[in-house]
Amino acid sequence: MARHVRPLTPRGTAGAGGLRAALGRQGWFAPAALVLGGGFLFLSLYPYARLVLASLRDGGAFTLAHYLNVARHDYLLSTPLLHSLVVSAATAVLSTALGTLLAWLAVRTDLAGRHAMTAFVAIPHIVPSFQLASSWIVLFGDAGIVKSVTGLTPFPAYGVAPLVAVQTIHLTVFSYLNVAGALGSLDPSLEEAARAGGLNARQVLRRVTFPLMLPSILSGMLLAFAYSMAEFGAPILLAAPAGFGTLTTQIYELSTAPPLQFGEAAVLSLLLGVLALAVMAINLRLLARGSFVTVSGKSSSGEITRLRGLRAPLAALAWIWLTATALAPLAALVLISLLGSWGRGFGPGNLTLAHYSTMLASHTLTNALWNSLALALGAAALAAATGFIAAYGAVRLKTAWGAWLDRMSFVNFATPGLVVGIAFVLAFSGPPVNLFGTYWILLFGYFVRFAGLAVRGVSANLRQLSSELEEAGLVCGLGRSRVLARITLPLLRESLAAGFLLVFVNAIKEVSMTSLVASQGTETLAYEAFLRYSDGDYTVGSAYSVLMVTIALVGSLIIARRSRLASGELSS
Amino acid sequence: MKIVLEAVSKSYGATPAVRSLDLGVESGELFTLIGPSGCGKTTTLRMVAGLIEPSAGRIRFGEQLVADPVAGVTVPTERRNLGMVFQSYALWPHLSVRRNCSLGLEVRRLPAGQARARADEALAMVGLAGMAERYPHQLSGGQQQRVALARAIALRPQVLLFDEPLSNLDAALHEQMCAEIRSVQRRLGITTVYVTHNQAEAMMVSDRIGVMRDGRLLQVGTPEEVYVHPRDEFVAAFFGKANVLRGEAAGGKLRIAQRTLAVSAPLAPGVAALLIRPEAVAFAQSGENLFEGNILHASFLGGHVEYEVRIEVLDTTLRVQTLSSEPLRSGRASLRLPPERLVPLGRAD
Repeated sequence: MARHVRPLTPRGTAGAGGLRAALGRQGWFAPAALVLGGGFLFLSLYPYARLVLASLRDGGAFTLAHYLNVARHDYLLSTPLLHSLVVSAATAVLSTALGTLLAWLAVRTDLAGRHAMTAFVAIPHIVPSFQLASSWIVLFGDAGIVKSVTGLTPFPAYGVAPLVAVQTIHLTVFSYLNVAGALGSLDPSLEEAARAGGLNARQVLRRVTFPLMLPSILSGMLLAFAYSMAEFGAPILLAAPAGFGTLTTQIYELSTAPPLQFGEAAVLSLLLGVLALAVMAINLRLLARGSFVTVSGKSSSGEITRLRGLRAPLAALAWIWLTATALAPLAALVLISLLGSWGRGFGPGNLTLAHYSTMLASHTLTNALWNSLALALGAAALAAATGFIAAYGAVRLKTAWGAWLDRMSFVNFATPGLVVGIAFVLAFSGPPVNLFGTYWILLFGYFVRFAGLAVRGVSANLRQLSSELEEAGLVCGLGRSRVLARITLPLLRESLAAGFLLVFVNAIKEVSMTSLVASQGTETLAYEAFLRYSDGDYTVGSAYSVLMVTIALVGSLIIARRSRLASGELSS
Repeated sequence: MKIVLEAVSKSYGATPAVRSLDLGVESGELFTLIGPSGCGKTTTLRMVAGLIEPSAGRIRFGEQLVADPVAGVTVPTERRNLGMVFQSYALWPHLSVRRNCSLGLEVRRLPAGQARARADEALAMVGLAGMAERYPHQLSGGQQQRVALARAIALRPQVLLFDEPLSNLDAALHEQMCAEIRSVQRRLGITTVYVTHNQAEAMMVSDRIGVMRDGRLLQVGTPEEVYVHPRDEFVAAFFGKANVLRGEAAGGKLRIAQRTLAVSAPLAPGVAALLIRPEAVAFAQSGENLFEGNILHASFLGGHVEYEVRIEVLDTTLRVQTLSSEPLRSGRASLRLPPERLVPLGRAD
């Protein structure tokens, strides 16, 4: 034997064995972890610290004046808080009812076209909510499409009801995906046992299936609530003009409209941030306490309910709703972008490509497009790299810093964008670190806000990979960085790509943080569109938005295809 | 090349996993560590691989010290020149079968052509010559197992390690792979440590077996030695079925209740336990150590029949095995316990 024996060279280190020791010794991992992980933690924690400081300081002196001021004035605290809670509760309940019903129809009935439903529920979530709000206004407003075509005004253009409607359409996807996923992976023998025990189909649904789905349903409701609390684009376009302020619009006003009151804005931001985090924490606890859903490995997906006489009417209702919510906002968007001017009707005489040609010729567009692409790509790359570092540190090396990166990335993602925006403005618009007016503040903002999307996916992927795959690499003589480069990273490529794309798409659509930290020259497509909408200039705004929505839809389509490919690979 | 473990211990916090283990694996030998889950066998194997560092003790490969925490010596896994077959096979799903086998050679800067030839040679050795272009998920469980074996031997390692390699295979394949691993290891003559909890597997593949429990090595011996002369009740019960008789030893005989048993082996006076395997008990009408009993139950098991026989005078129920070619029995029966087949057992700790 020993025809190809390499000399055994001992090393004078006695740390832990295996992977931990291998990575500790040398290679690119440690410096990369230090720079990315340290950078991420600094960019997360420092702004929050400044936010807390700002709420406690007036000039140079510590004071509780901002808190007292907020508590004393209804227009600052109780009114917007109540409004936010009411709108979010209504949105959560409605979107959950709708999402649960649609999920059941899609997974457990013989409804026509049920397999295509997921895409139609997802599209209104891919389209940013400020765009849905704008589409609502151009559809149902005084000079809107519906009124000029039919002469009717079936829905009000502004106010609470449109806000709830738009947010419900935007957020139904949470309950839908939660419940559809749970129904799909529910062990069918649980229901079969109930049938064998003498319960009829309806009793099984009520006594067995529904209770088992309850954690998933509640979780979808909490997610919708938290997102709704954080919404900024829809309330500022739809509800603020009707005099209905929410926490987010109030914060925006305090920090952008003179007289600027950053102290009070900071207090409200802290309140909103804590509320959002609390709801997300409850959701995590709910999911951790155990869902009853088990992956049984059997392909049978439970009993399909025959809708019989209800089949046609239910299908008609469901598909009218799905088509309307998925396609009408997009159709309205495109139509408006082709209008010569808003308010002159929709006849062929008023249709033009002028906005596109003006836009294409203008420096503003190319600037915004390149800003959007460069910032989103940069943030996505940083986030994917950090996702790998955090996931490896937390899952494989089981280090404290890995766990903190993981936790911090989740906190940042759960914190409303507007709150992150305020914190960044406070932290980086003056000494010691002045980034205001630069691209860096946006790049770091998107990175901090969305890195959680990459961390979560990569961690989940890494948890599924047996560490024996990497140990086998060590045994085969690869060692250290080669195991990472030739085994670990290639095996994580799907989740890294998915994380990259998710961050990219979300950064492309971002307005709530952007509206606070962007400045002249660093505007993005989404921000340009949002600015135009805020000024009532729907036609030019829509031209920007068409570009932004197209990029977001294409990105999301790639994500969906890749994930289907990946799951197909697994099941084959 | 010999593998030597000297007083090797591993503890996690205050919990000891392996306690001061001494072990020598001879050059070219296939040595199996066996025991119930949590006995420390996998920890020991992983310490040999360098995937876990011992808390104390020394591990040598031949003359070379590979682990000695006191002296601060650690040869990292990738420099120990190992081949290892994992329980999950750990085949890299993103690489073809051939690349799975050749990756370790590529990083050793072997020319691509040679690496490829060596991988194909290893694949041919396990009967997968035509499968080199495939990917792991396109193979059956048994084929994946073979790739894992081929990957381990393609490196021409000085030590082969197996961590419960066959626990995911069905019974028929299991037996076939046992034979295959044995023949490949014999042909290459590589010093091998093999971990399993399956006694039949251990007996098929091993030159010697070490039985572990609670982080300690209870007994080391050939498959025959540990079966025929188990050190204590635990080892006896671990390998095959065991009848254990307890009594008071005096004058070379064992006294149970009012009866005495003649025993050929020397017996120390005092409380004692004797082992007799089910196939050693015979239905007989005459001879030494003859006892009457009631057949409680008979199970037909294919090649043989197993009886449970209650013997009132010894206050015990014995398992008895006969060939199924003999006529099936029922009712009362007379059993003989041959004195030379009664094996004194040490006390289990």
